[in-house]
Amino acid sequence: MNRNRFLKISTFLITACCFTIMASGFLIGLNLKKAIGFWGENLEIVGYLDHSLSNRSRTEIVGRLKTMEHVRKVDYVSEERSFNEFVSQSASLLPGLQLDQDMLSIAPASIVITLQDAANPNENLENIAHLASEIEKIEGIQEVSYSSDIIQKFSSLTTVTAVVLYIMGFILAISSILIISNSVHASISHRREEIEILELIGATPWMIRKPFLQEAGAIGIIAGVVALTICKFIFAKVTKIFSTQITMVRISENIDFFSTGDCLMFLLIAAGIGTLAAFLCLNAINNNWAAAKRTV
Amino acid sequence: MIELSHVYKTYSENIHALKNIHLFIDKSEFVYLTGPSGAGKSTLFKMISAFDLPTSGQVKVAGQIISDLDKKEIAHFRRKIGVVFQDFRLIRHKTIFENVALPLVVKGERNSSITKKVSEVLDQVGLYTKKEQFPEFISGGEQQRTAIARAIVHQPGVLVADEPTGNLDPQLSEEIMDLLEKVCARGTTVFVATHNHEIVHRRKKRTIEIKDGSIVAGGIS
Repeated sequence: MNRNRFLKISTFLITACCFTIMASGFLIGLNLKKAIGFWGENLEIVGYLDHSLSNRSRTEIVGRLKTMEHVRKVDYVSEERSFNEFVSQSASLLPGLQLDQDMLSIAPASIVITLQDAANPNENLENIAHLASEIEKIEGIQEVSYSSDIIQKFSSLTTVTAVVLYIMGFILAISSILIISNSVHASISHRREEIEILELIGATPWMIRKPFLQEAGAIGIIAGVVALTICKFIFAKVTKIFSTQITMVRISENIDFFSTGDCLMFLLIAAGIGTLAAFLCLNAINNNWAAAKRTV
Repeated sequence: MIELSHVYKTYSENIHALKNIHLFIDKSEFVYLTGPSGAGKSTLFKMISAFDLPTSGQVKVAGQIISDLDKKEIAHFRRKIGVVFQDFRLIRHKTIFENVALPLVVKGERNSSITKKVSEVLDQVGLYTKKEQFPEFISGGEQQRTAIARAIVHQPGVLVADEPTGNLDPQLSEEIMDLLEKVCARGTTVFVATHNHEIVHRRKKRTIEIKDGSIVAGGIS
């Protein structure tokens, strides 16, 4: 009896660990996607204008950009505003920097183009690259800049990470099935006599299987709840560290824990893993003739 | 109630456990099955309680042909019969009451009905006062009476008992046989396999003798 109980407890703990790693992986994957989405949303294309452009030409370019596809906002930044922003940002480093005509001639006028939200981060990147190439073709725009490389690398990293996490999740799910299955197998062996007696008095195969399925499903759900609780705790700690100690990286504002729907889905998967493990095990063992194997 | 015709059971390498068995036991009849070890008594009982199928021939119990039943029907068939074994087969972690209640639980009866029926049958077998005890804390005779109570609580048409007194002393054996005769008197067909020739001779009931897989006496009443 005790051995069976210890086996059940250890099965539960190992399953909870597997589910915690799985849930953490899903959470990381979810927030990586959000991060790139957030980054994509805030992406701007900056088009630097030729100094020699007349005000009318500048207005025409702004008007033309506003009509382009995927453009949400077009903001014209004059040489003067550009320089003022530079001065205010560099105030601590260059306190003596003042506005004068010579300096003003160095600062370029620019147009900041903000994109509309795309359905997904990758689409944002495609839109940006396409739009940048279109803007480059406009006469009067000397140079176009946007941080595509970093985002594309980040996007690739996100994809690779997601694939790795999904593979890990799959392996852990299989491991959980095997672990729970082993526990159910032991439980069946332990209750073999009881199963035989139940068969003897007319219990249907479903009646005999039901308690094992329920037990394994319960192990799955409880392990899932424990995993989500641990994840929530870790998530709160990480968010706190980012919001109090690593403030320059504004991660804490842009990451979220699972939604209620996600949590329910995770618990459903956890229960499914448990039930499937028991089902596979029972299918192999209980053939409804257990009592016949004993000599009566 | 129990009818076997042309029943053969052959295992691998031409081992014939049963050979051309013809048997008919009527409703409310009390019949003993005797024979040496390995004669085929257990095989015959397995077939009657649907734990095994004949290689050929037909086994008909309580109006149902065993070989025609699927898994679910077999389960339902077993609810119509009662089986008692030499080793009692009680669930150790359940009380006497819970053990006896099992067939009714399996049938899906209501708690109030279960309590009433189990109490009545425990009273009949003289174990009502021990209903909260666990099997390991009662005597062998009481365990066998519990097994009989479990076998009759759902009022089966047929009660099959395989060496029910095999592990009991002579006095307890007589008690168990008295109990089985009482069950028979209420309309249940009782078929008992035993080695105990003394009991068989003293009770003067119909006796079927089996030897080397064949019935040598008493097959057809």
